Amino acid sequence: MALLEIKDLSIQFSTDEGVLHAVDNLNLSVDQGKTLCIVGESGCGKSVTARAIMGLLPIPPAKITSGSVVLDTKDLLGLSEKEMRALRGNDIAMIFQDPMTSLNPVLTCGYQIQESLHIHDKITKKEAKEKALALMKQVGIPEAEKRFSEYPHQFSGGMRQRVMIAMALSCKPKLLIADEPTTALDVSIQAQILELLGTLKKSSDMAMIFITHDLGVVAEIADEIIVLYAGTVAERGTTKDIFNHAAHPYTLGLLESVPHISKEQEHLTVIPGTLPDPTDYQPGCRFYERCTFHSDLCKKDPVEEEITPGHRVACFHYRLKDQQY
Amino acid sequence: MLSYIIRRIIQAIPTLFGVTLVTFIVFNVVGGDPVYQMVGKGAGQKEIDALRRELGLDRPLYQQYFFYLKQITTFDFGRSYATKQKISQMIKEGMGPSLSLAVPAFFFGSILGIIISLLVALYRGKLFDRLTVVLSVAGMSVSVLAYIIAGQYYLAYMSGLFPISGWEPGLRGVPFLVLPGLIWVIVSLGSDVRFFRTVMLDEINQDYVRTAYAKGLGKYRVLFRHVLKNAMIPIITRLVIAIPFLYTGSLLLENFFSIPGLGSMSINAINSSDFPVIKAITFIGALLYVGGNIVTDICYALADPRVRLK
Ligand SMILES: Nc1ncnc2c1ncn2[C@@H]1O[C@H](COP(=O)(O)OP(=O)(O)OP(=O)(O)O)[C@@H](O)[C@H]1O
Ligand SMILES: [Mg+2]
Repeated sequence: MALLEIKDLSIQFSTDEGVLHAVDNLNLSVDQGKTLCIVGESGCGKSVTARAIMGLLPIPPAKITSGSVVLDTKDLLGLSEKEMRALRGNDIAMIFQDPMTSLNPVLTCGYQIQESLHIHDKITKKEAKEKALALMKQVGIPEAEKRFSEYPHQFSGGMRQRVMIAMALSCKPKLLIADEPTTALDVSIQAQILELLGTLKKSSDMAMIFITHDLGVVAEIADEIIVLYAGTVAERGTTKDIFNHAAHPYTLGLLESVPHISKEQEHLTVIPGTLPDPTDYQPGCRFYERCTFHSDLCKKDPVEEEITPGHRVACFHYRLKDQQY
Repeated sequence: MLSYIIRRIIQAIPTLFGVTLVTFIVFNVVGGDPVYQMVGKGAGQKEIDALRRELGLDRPLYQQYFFYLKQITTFDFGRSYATKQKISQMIKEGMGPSLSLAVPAFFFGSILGIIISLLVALYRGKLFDRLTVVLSVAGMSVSVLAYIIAGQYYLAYMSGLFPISGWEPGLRGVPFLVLPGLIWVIVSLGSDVRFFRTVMLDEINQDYVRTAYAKGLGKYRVLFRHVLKNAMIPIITRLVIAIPFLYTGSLLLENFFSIPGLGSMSINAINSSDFPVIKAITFIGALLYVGGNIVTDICYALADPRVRLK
């Protein structure tokens, strides 16, 4: 049985421009110990999905119009704020994109790491401190004793992200949501953080949802990948399915825009065009405008079809792909 | 920390020196000759010369300046032209009434402002928040004179809740201070709350607040442990900067409520061109202001770890 199961989740925002459809009829599941990557360009609804799982959507303007989010056997959407609070940072933890601003500048890093221990585990201060120090060592922060009482501004970007990770891991969550944890970092630091997340995951049976807009990052750590486009799933499958047998034109576009170190590339291929206006979706495929391959077929709403077990694509043309792309 | 404080004090010395120079130039060079005003029309040249010699105004400017510096360092500002009292004595006497009005009013006003802005942060966008915004703008737009007149008429004269005006030393003076204190709080609350509210709402939208919620903290813990500490930095700055101005009290309130403080004293001194008194009040004000700035910086360093190290 899946650890986390999202069924038919739809999220809207009421904005000045009208109702914004951030996520539409999303289904996904994550098994214990597995990593699911959610990939898609800016604004496709990745963070909104993550916040919905955490129960941290700003309601209003946000509104969950349908669906369920089940962790173990609990439907999170039906829980009270108090019950949700007991889960947050405990069963589900989250790390964020920008480690510069995501830590509180006036509290020591040590304090911020031991705070969730203090809240959820009801242990003494001394025990919490010891645990926090152990966590700091585990995530690779050198001189943990000294750095415990330092403030975030005394840490480098990569070290801050390690603090965030230590914080998230403190209560041994069943599920870790990492929302673009490496986007704000230098390439070399990015690799270190990815490696750290990989090793940490191997040594526990924690599940992870890893959010990114960069397919290049996920090959190493993903078990499964969901490609999100304009709040809906374009394609999903194992890492191999996506990297070797991509079927959706959007996925193919994303793969082409991944920079290759081996190839000397002058320009990165980027998919021309932009996301359609989320307050004004037309019926039919949302990728229609940007697809080199669209036809009248695409004026109907695409549904996910299974190509091989577990590999699904929401496109009318995937069968023709080899001939026409 | 100690070396930081010492360095800030040393840095303040040139500023204070500048202040002495400016006040000296304003009063002794540009300000004109006070003697003509003192002796009145129809006075003879002999009389004038005698008075100038008595006041030391016949000496060269640099000597006058050194004399002024000596006065300042010994806190002996000479005597008032108008009342012939010792100025240091006048200030000592005026400070009590001024502070007894200003300090409690400032204290309660600030605490109330912070509490209201915390509530606003908790109930952002709700009725309480909107009401607060409307009331604080309304409060700011009404002149203090309107509050004074309305307060004295309705609360003091008509209903007799408070004495209309006056002052007495010690505890017997408390009833006299309630109404002007209340007006002080109302007048300062409007702009304080608006400022504090902006600070709080600004903090609440920061990323670290989202992180705190993601850890499973409740909204009170987020507010008091995480947000308030950050919000205190701009709030402290604003409050400490206001402290030096407390010593002159409120010119208008003291005048209308006949409180014999430094505010009333300043108005009298200005009306009678009592230069030494104005000079002393100005200088002490500047001194407190510079001191207040140092205290602000120290508070700042205490509240914000990012400034501490440099
Ligand atoms: N508080 C909000 N109010 C209104 N609309 C919002 C709000 N938060 C998100 N949205 C909208 O929801 C949609 C999805 O946003 P989301 O933040 O999930 O994108 P994302 O995939 O995480 O993009 P990025 O890569 O930029 O982080 C966007 O169209 C965005 O404008
Ligand atoms: Mg995002």
